[in-house]
Amino acid sequence: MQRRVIAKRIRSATAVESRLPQCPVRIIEVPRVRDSADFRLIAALWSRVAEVRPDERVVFDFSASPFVKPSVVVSMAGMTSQLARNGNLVLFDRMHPSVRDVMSGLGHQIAVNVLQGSRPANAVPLRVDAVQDRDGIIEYLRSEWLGRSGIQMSPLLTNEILGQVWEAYANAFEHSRTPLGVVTYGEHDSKNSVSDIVIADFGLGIPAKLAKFDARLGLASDALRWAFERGNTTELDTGFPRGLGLNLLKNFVQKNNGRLEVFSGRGKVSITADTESYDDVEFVMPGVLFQLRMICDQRRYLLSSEMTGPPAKLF
Amino acid sequence: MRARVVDQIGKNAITAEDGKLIYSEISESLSAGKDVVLDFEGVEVFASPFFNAAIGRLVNDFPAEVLNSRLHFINLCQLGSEILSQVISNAKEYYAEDADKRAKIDAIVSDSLGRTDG
Repeated sequence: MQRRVIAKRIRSATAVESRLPQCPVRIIEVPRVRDSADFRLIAALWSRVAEVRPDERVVFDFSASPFVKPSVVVSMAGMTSQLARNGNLVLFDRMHPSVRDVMSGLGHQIAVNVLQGSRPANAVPLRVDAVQDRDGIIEYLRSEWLGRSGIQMSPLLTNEILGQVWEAYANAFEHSRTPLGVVTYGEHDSKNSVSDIVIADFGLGIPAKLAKFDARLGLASDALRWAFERGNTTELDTGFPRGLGLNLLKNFVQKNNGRLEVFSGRGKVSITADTESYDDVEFVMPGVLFQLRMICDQRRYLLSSEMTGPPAKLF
Repeated sequence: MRARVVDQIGKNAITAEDGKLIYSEISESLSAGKDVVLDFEGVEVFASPFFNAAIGRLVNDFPAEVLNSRLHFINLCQLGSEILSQVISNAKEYYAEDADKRAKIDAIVSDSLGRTDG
C-alpha cells in the first residue's frame, strides 16, 4: 500500500510538472486541521510559505486533508494571495472533491489527481471582500450562513447575530488595510444546532499594532486582553469615540453560550459562557483570525423581542 | 426634523460611514434649535460603529440636557436600544478623559502608527 501511495504521488507531481514552465517546484503539504488545538499546524504552513522564493512555483498538496476546516480555507486565501502578489504561480493538487469544491473559490488552477471523497456538508461559500461591502456581507451571512443552516430562527434573533458578527468585520476592515481585505468561510451542523464562521484579515495583527501604540502591551496576551476591554482603541483621531465592538461581541458570545476564538500574532483568545482566557502561544498567526461558533437554537438565546425603545434619559 | 433612518442608509445600521451621514443631519438640526426624531422603523441590523459615529460624538457637541430633551428615538428595538445605551455610556467616559491626556495619546498615536501599517 505504501509503495502504491508513493508511486501515485510521484506520478501526480510529474503530471503537474509536465504541464508547467520550467522553474523550481516547492511542494507544501496541507496538514489535517481538526480544531483550534491544531492551529500551530496552520502557523507552520505560514512559515513554509514565508520560505518560498520568488522564482518558485508552489504546489499545495491536499492528500493529507480529506476535509478542510474554515480556519484552513481562510488561511489559504491569505497565503495564496501573498504568493500571487510576490509573483509565484500557485497550484492545488490531490484534493478530494469536497475540498476541490471549496478551494476552487480561491480561483487558482486545480491540478490533477483528485481523490475519492464526499461533498462537504453545509459548507458556506468562501467570500473575499477587498473593500467593505456592508449590504453584500450581511446578505451573504443571512442567506449562505444562517439561512442555509436548516435551523429555525426568528428574524429578530437572526438580525441580532448578524449585528454581533459585523463587529468582527468592522474590526477587520478597520485594521487590516491589505489588498486582500477580509476572508470569510464557514460551515454549519444542523444536527448539533451549531454554526461556525471564520473571519480573517492578514494585516499587521492586534499584538503588533498595539506594541507600537503602548510599549506596556508587549505580550500578545496583554494586547488582546486590552483590545477586548470596553473603550480601548488605537483609532483615536477619528473624531468620535470607539472601542466597543470586540467587547460587545465577547459579551454576546458569553451570554448566549457561543464560543469565540481569536488568533493574532503570538496571542490567542478563548471565550465561552464559562471561560475567558488570553494566552501567549508558541506559533505566529498573521493578521487576525476570528473563529466564532453560534448555537442556533432559538430557545438558548435571551430574546430581544420587546420593542421597548430606549429610556427617556439616555444622555 | 424627523428622519427615517432606513430611507437614509438602508436596513443595516452598522457602519461608521453611515453613522457620519446621520450625525451631520442631527447636528445641523440641533444647532439650529430644532428637535430631532430618528425613526428606526425598517432598520433590521445594528452595530456599534454606526451608533459611535451617529450619536457618540454628540455627547461632546451638546449638553446632556439638550440631547435628552430634543433628540428622540422611535421604533428602535431592544437590541438597538442596548447598543445605543452602551455607545452613549462609552462616549461619556471617552470625553470625560482629561483633554490633555487625550492630546498626548493622539500625539503618540500619530507619531508611532502613521498610516502604513496593515
